[in-house]
Amino acid sequence: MKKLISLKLITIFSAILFFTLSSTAFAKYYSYGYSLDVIGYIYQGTNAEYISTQASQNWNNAAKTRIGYGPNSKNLIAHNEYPDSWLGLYRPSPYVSGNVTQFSISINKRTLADYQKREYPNSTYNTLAINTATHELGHALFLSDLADGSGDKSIMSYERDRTNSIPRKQDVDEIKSMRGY
Amino acid sequence: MIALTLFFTIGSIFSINIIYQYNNQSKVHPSPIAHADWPELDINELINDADVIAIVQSTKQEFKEEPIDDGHFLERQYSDLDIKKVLKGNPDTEIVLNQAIDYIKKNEKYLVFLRKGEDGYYYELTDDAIVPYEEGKYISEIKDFTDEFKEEELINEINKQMVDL
Repeated sequence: MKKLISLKLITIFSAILFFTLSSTAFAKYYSYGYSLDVIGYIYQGTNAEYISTQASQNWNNAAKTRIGYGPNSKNLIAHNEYPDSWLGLYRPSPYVSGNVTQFSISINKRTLADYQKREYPNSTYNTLAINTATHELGHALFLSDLADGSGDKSIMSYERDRTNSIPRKQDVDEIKSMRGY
Repeated sequence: MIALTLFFTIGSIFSINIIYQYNNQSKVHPSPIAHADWPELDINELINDADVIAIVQSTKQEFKEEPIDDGHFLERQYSDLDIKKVLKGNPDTEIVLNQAIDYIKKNEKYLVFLRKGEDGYYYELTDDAIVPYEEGKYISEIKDFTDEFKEEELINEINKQMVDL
């Protein structure tokens, strides 16, 4: 009888643990993405066409997305000078029934130019700009930033090698996992 | 019953493993809506680059929706900062922090590493350049300076780092 009760207790405890932890494990994605498959955009600013095209192709080749220029799209990839210290910014807006209906990506020429000269003197400005644009497009694909300690495992990591703009295996796996295929 | 117990136990171990991998690989940043890509600066770079390093308290805040790019807007928070102690620079007694993301809270204390913009506003150098004061301690996530400090300890440590530079 005692054995049966303890077995029942273990079962209940394990069941609670299983369902609690399982649901937590799939709560890591960014909620304000735009689409997992098709994303159109317009561009603005010097060299923005080249930077956005390269960043889109990085995702299209790695994760089989269809990201590209669409003259009627409300999404924007801009390449301008901003007073802030960030290199790039992804801003979703507005929300209708919980979905993001458009987004803007701002690539900060001012900060990136300084950063490239100091941290990546052997690389080019465009390489870093494309890397930042690829990172920001990752947010439109529902991927979150990865903070310190993540190294180069993801294009979403602050510690990534910024001369490599190809989305990493972890990024592609996460998108596949969200899509379910 | 034993089979069921085994099933759930194995399931739990599997879940714990997923959580472990997740914690190691995907430290999600707390910003709930807009996301920024920041330069990765360590403590020495922050000290070098900052025009002002100070302990501050936000006294007044204002939100403004401003155009950022063609047809798009950004909500900026302008925070008046009351300067409690200056560790580097010569700021006025009150300065204005301009933020587009990860806004600071009113009446809270922070250690800040700021750059003065050409527009006269101050900007944080990275997302880690604003160190919050919580429950009697400053919680630093700055690269090579990750720790919790009491105020005096923090001031001593920053001063020591500045001397070493």
